[in-house]
Amino acid sequence: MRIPLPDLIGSAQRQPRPFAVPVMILSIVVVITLAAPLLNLPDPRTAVAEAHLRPPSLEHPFGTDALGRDVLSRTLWGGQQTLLVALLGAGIAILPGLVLGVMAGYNQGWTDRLLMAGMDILLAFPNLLLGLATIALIGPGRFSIALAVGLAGLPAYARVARAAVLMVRSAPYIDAAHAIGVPPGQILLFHILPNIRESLFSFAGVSLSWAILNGAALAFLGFGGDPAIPDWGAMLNEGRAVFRLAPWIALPPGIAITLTIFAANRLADAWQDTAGHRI
Amino acid sequence: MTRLSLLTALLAILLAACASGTASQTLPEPRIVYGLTLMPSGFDPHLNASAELGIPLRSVYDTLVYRDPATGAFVPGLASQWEISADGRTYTFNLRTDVVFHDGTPFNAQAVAANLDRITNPDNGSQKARFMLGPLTGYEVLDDHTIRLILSEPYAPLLDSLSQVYLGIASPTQLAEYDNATYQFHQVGTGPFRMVEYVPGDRLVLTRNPQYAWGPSFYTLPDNPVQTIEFRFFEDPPTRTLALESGEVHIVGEIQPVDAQLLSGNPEIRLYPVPIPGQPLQFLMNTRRFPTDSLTVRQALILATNRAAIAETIFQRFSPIAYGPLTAVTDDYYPQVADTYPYDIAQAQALLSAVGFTERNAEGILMVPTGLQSAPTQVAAGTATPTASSAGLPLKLTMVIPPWGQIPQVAQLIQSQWRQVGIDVEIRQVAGLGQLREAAAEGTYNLIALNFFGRDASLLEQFFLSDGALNWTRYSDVELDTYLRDAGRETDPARRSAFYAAAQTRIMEQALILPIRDYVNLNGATARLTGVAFDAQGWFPLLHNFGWIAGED
Repeated sequence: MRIPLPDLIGSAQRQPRPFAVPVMILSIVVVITLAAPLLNLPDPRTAVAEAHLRPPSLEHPFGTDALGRDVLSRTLWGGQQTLLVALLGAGIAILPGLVLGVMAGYNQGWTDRLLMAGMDILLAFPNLLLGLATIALIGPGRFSIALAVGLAGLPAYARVARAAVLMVRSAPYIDAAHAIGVPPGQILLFHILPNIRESLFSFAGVSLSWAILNGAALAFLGFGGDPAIPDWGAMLNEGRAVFRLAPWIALPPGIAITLTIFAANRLADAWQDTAGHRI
Repeated sequence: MTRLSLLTALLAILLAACASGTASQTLPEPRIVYGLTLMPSGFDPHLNASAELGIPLRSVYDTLVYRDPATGAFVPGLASQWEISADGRTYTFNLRTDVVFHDGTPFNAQAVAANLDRITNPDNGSQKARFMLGPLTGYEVLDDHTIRLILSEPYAPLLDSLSQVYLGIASPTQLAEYDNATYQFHQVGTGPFRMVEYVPGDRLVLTRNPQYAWGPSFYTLPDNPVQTIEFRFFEDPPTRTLALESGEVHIVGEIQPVDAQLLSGNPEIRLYPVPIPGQPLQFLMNTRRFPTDSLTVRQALILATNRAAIAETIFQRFSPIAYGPLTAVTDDYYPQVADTYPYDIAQAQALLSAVGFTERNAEGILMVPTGLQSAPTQVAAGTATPTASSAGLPLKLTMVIPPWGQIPQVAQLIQSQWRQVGIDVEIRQVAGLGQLREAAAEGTYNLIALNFFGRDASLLEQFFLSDGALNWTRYSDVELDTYLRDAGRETDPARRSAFYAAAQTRIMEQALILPIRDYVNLNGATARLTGVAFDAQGWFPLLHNFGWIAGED
């Protein structure tokens, strides 16, 4: 009698997870936050002392915060801020990370060893610690947070890019390209990168969710510079101090962060699955 | 001794050794947990400057003199009496003869001398205690129980300094045995509590000194006195309230004002708001940077600030509004400063127009005129000349703030209030005192928030003397310097008060600061704790008076 083996490799063969759900969530988040200026909301920075800690009402659907500012307005405007910082941060992680990783993977030898030793040293520190060290060096502010988040994410992205290059570098079609005298730059651009793009996209999605999380964490800790400029992370901290009296302040930014990160991760999964499906 | 009894003895020692790993567990009851709000970098009162260290250590040490918290009067401590020479340069202290340190060392003039040597030795790098001694040049031990302190010039704050924990008298035996880094773990004084252990970042444990019989007049032993106090750290403000409600901590300071309404309905918890002497929450205005270099602009900024709304919204009315450079419970506070700047938006706008700010942009922000003339009301120090880069742009001030004490919230409310008169504010929140000092040195701020605490008005010197270490207003004025210097040297209390009144008036006439609210430390304690009281400096509890109402736990 034969006992069926557990389906160990099933995940690679099952239907790829859909793009539709995460793309929908992300578009909704982006559209709503971008629409903030058009919605005729109260100014997110204007404190109205008399109206502080008001529960949700028709006038303030999400209530007001400890300084009497409209929480809905701050959540939407804060989304612009948080997403902008996260995109900048992810960009700072991904672009140089990609260049370094591809250089290391393609050239191998000393370049590879040197670059990867450097990346490994950075990887030895927890992500957030690296971000905190960066802030300590360059001082607080929105762009400091973006830079801190980017530098913290860079080594991981370089590692992934290098690994992906190594996977296809020794494939016969690359050897063939070498043999017929295709210049290295063209091999990289037209033969290697297109074949690893799913891995790169997928990890870019992961990098974005890290950037949102780390950026929000640094803002939560008060490194955002001007505290009046709304930001989901900073709002979480403001809301936390009065959570028992006014839970409506921390909930919207908390839910928004969770949803956005969930969507970014699902997007990464979907890309990963298309790669598995194609191979 | 038989072999068996030897074995038993050994076992007993072993068991005791096991127990000593948790030495504090065997200490007498009742025992309470006292919450500290931050982790000082060092716990040595002679060497470190933190206010937090005084909360436990105020009761480990005695001081030569004490201040009665009710009257502010100096009362005998380790010195039973003292005499100040007519020229104010020598202070002779007669010391008590019945005092012993926790380690059995007798207290005498040589012990005081050893402490003074430690504090004044420049190699020890005292952060606060040395400065509190002012122009002290030396001492003379006249006999075993008489010591004379010698100053190079009269220094009125000396008794106040000597009444503070930073000049607490430590056992010379311990000071000789341990070095500067290790003494903080083995502190020995003469106070009503002795230190059992200090584990950095975790706890500091005190237990009652049963021999204590030389306390100042306002120390009274309660029924069922608290015997053991474990200090733990509660650095995160919202958790302090939770810890208090759950019984994890029995008393803790600096509770968030918004939490007061959660606690006020709880019959098991009492609130003790304690006004703190010293400077109010204040913004120092940079008199060397456009546009706060203009006196008129500075006055307009104070007039445009609705302090009542700030006190109500952020401090839930637990804080009185501040009007001058000292809080109302500070010595030599001059109440007349309260009349200088009422909340008056119309007046603020009129003043701004008077110095040329008349045009507004689409967002209602005043535009910096291109050909701005010096206003007639300006003083010599600085003129309102816009830098080339700001002319024709919207009026924007830079405010640098630390993250503590609800200052970020205050700054945001001010930002909104000032936008109504057409002034935009950029808030730069920095991470701590170090970055605040850096920003101050850079000088690219219009307002910067910092305040110190202390009962004696002489703390104004470092902020407002032309060469003061913290003269972040960058204001330089012979008249103000004279008031402050004369007050520091004056030993007649009435005349000293008059000098400080003049100094406070001058500071507000020149609108050097934007005062917001008097500092109030909101303490919360379980209702079973009795005798909760604080010393004349406001921060430090009189642990000797703490008692406990027994009941089932």
